[in-house]
Amino acid sequence: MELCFDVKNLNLWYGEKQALTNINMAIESNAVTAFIGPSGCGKSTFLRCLDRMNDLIEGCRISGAIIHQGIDIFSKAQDIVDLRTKVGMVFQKPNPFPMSVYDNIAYGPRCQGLKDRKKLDEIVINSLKGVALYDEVKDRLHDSALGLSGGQQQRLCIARAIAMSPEVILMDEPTSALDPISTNKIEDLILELKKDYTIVIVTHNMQQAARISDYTAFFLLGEVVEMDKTDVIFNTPHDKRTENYITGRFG
Amino acid sequence: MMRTLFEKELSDLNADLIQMGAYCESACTNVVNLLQHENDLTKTCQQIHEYEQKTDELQKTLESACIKVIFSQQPVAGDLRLISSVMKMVADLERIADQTSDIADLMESNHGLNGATNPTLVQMAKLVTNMLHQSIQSFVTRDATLAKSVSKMDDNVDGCFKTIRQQLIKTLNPDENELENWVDVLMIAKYLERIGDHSVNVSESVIFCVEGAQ
Repeated sequence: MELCFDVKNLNLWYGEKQALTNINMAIESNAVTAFIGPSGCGKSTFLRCLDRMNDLIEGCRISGAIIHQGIDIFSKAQDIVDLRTKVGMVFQKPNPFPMSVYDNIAYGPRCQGLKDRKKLDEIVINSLKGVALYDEVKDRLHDSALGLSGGQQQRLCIARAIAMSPEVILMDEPTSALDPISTNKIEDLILELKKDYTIVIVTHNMQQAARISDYTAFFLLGEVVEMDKTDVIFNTPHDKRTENYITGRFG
Repeated sequence: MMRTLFEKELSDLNADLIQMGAYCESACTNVVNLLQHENDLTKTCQQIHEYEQKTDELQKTLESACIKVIFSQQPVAGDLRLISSVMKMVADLERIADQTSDIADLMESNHGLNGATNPTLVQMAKLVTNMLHQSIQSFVTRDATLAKSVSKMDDNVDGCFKTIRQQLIKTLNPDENELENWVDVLMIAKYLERIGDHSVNVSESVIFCVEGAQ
């Protein structure tokens, strides 16, 4: 299997408080990896390590390494802009920019200096088609993105991420604010996207993790209790704490 | 404890399955009595039919309850294994009760069988009753080791069936009445052999429930 991220002995502190303890994890390329665990267990914190979003948090200190394409992303050799171009992020609440549908998607490529209108059109259309949104918004590409439904806004945010041709898409509870139909669309989309991208998703929805992920990691109190193929985690977990959590007996 | 309703639903499933197993065990014990002519024929057969009816009712109750728990609670891991095991065991237990009922029918209709005792047939009935008992016991205690021992006992049941078949073949030129008896003895032996197989299936469901291994 080809590794997208190889996490080695990762520890993270917010000030004096240790939020992640000795995380070791291999994240496979072109697969969906789900992080599950009770609130405050460190799964979102860990997700943010993968594109170094925690750099922005004051008092945050990290030890250990995350190897991506042979480079430790925390080392000086890693170009942070390049990392965030390769690693896209989708958040819990859809957060389109207060601009048109078109400009939302063209924003990233424009920031990278792309001005060619034809190329931008191509990127916008392909990105919207890639998230199965184009047919729904093709007549209002220049209307405000804020007028779209919640589910459409979230797919727009995913389109905005893939417009940058990333290798990885990180998703932090991407469907928790959506209705069941929109959730289904995002889940179908995730299964489609994994052909081209590595996807890491944080979810509180056990059935969602069981439905869409290839691997599942169970986090508890800042540690990874167990990570395995999703079928194993949901059929025959090895650790009693995992079983108790996924069967709803604590958390 | 969390998920109070879910825990109660699982507990009810467990209790009903054990009850269903108990009805089947009682029916099998009655079959042993029938074959040894120990109790009143009509009364014993009636009891077997009553156990079969109660088993049918519990089958419907349990299958509906399993489906409801699956769609309402979305169980995973050990809980899901329990429910899928219960669904499989219910089918096997229902078949076991049917076989005991079929044996009772034969014993009632063929009066020639009522005078003679075939020791191999009695031995076979005792063996399968014991197999069923151990299967149910292994479910009660979630004991995969005990469940694994059941399939070994099935070899003895198969051995008895072969013996009875040989006895039939060795009986040369039987008169018409005797031949009819032998055919029914063979039928009963086959029913018992099937009860043995279903008991093995029950024990395999217990192993899956406890260990997750197919």
